[in-house]
Amino acid sequence: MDLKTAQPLLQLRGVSKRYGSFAAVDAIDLEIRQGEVFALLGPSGCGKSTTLRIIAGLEEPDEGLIRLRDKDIFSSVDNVLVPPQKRNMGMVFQSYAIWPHLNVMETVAYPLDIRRVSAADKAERARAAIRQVGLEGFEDRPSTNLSGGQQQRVALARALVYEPEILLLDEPFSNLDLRVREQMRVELKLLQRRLHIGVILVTHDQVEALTLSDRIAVMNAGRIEQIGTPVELYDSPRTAFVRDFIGAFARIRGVVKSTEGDFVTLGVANAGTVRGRLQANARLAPGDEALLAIRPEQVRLDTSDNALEARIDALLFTGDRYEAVLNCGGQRVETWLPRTVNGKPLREGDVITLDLPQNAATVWAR
Amino acid sequence: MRALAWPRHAGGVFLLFTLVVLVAYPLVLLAYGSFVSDDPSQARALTLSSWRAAFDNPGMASALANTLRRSLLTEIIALPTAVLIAWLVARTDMPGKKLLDTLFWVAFFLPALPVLLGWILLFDPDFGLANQLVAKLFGPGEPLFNIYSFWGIVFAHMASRSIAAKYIFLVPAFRNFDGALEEASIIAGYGTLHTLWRIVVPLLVPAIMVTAIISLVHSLESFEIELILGAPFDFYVFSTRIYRLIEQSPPLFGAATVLALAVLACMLPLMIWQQRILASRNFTTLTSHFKPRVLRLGRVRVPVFALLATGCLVITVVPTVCLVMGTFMNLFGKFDLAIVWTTEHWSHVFADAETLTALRNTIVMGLAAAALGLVWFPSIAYVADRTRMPGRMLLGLLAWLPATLPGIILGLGMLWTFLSTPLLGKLYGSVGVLIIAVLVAALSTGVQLIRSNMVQVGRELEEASWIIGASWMTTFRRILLPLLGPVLLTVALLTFNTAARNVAGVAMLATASNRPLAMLQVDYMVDGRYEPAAIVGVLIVGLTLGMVLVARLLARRLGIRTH
Repeated sequence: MDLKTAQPLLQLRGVSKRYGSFAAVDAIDLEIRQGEVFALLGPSGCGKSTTLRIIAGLEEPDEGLIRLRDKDIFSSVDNVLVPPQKRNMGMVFQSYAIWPHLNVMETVAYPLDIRRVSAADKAERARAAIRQVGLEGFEDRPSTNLSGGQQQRVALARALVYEPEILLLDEPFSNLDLRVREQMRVELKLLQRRLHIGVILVTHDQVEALTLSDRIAVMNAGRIEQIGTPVELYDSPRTAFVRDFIGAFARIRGVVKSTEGDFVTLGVANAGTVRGRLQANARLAPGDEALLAIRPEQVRLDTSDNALEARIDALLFTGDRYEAVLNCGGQRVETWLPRTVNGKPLREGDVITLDLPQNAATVWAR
Repeated sequence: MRALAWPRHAGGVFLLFTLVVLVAYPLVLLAYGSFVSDDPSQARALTLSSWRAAFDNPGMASALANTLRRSLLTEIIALPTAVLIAWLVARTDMPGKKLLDTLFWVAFFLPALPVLLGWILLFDPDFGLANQLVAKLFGPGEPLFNIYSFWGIVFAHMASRSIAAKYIFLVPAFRNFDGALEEASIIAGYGTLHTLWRIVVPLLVPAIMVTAIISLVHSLESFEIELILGAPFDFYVFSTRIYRLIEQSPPLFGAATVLALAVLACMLPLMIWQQRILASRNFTTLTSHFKPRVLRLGRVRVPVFALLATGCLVITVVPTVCLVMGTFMNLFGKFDLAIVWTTEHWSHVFADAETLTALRNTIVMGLAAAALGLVWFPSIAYVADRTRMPGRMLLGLLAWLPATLPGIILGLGMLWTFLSTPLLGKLYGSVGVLIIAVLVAALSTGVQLIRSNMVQVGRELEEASWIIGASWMTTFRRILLPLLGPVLLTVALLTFNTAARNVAGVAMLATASNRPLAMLQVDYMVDGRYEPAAIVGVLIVGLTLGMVLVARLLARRLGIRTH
């Protein structure tokens, strides 16, 4: 299904939330489509959780418009505020918010009590939801006797049992250990693909956002820096913040020598010259300070089309490769290096030729 | 290795010994004494005469019934009130929460005895201001208020600690409750009231139960309010009955002891229940770093605040003002005299050796007990929680015991100890006796507070110091004590205030030579000398609230965060 033409499920227009003079959420616009996983990604305090709570109705924004399908659920102009209990959304809290006095079955069935479901139907639907998250056999356990991953499944079942229009996930994996986290990620994606439900995910973990989402909004200081698919964000970050927040970059400082169309030639002190593609919205003239950024997996040692000399100061073995700290004409450069070059192992102290393919390298203003 | 354990734990063994002598031994003596004689200073043969005398004493059964009736009734009114107030303060957008919180703490710290004089000035059937006002408005008749009545006593309890203490217990539970637990229910489609009923209340039941039981135990052992307000209309609870049996001439030690044992037997299930609740630590909801969900009260916001603020002022400022006013009255409560006001009582009191001695006794008691407590309590807490000494469980148990024992019974047990042990007997009549009594009275709270704070100081912090090469003593002094600074300050303050305000624990042990302020006030009031009693009351209030201020200043000076 083509997500680009899908009907918008939820729209936010100019939504702001201020605490005194501090704008936690600053006039943001968002559009979430039916059946997509949409991530709000950013460092802590960037306003992503507040945005999610505004969508849920747990916080009241100061201004803006929020529309669920074709119905306004918040409008500062028309003075509309639909309370959270009437929005029919599902939410998984960061702490899971597992009620310690109810068992798994009671917890999952709880939302059905208000929805005029017959007793038999209620038990059936709760069981189905429990099965869906892989907790069959745990129905009678007190929820607090479960592990973190299991508690999260309970919270997920509780959020899905009444078939909400949107599922909201607030840092859902941050309290799990690494292995459970990876497993839950895969299961959540499979479940979402099966239910075809709209999901809004708040996370500060870029790997989580990249692996789970169809689209991502990167947030910083209450504003949206960039919205795009994971591939778009990874391959062409539009701001320095997005560049530094998503994935790793090897970065080399230099001074602009010349510009030819989309390409810039940089002089790197005591190391030579390199070329790179001019970053989309950068304006550079000869003599300007600039920064060349390249994904570390693009760096090569077996060619020398666009190369700089560097000495290896330290090699950190990570299994399939090294993370390397290089000395490039006096400046420190961090990148990845393969385990061997032309069949020869690398050693600390070696002087190497670092090839930075010019189509993969972007030049930013500093 | 086992053989080496004891010398290594010499300090711990000594602590255990102190607890056995000061807590366990008096109780054993009490039980033994009930079978011996009428006078603990003279050894006699085993006899059942005390038990027989006790059961023949007509006041016994009614004293027990009165105790139960008064406590249960107070609790039934005070607990729901405190729950409601705690919920309002912790989880709604009511204005002025800081002010109310402060006022409840003031109510908690205000000593009951001096405050009583304020109530007497207001609600005495003969001269009470409230009655005079009613008479002026509606014409003379039967006085509307009578503080010397069952309901007067219940009121005095509510107005002193009964509601304030429960509020202070409950507020953290209400406050630390993860708001997401409520939000999850609201997201699922439920309104505020349904969520309150199905989620919030069930989750807080453990905290409310703990509060109910702890305060019931406290309520059962109350003493001074009944002593002052109950005697005039011949209303006795067990504690005032015991006191009466000892104070009368000749004193009936045996009957008092039997009554004390009977009460202990009745309270035993409650004590065990309390210990089990505290041990099971069913406080899963109390550990969260999330902000509580704040409920918007809407239009009732301001009226609710006004109501609560009035209530708070009535239980704090009003009786205090009345108390101070009373000290300047020619004749306490007589507003129709030619000369109503005078400063004469103040000049009398300060020319009077009795008052000055009592003031000195109280200050010496308070400072000495606080200083000794600062060594004794943390050491007990440390040995109980951080060492592997055999018998550390017993140590913890003995340190907890005084909390559940009524002060008057503890005092009686100590009286037995001091009168029948030659070495300790030398102390009898000195301030030293009272210092020990205060230490034991403050023991449980002090140790418990320190233990709960010590849990939060990770063992690694200590181990890091040992690894560096610091000795155990240095580590305790340089690492643990500073980290426990705030709680130690609180404990010192509570100990001092126990010395200043405690009546039940010292009533049995005070003599003319070591009498502290609180006992002096009791004696004045029993004699009907309200004016000097009020002045002594003002001194007690000044000392306790003054110490709170000093502690806060000290905390700020030392950069310690207070709770």
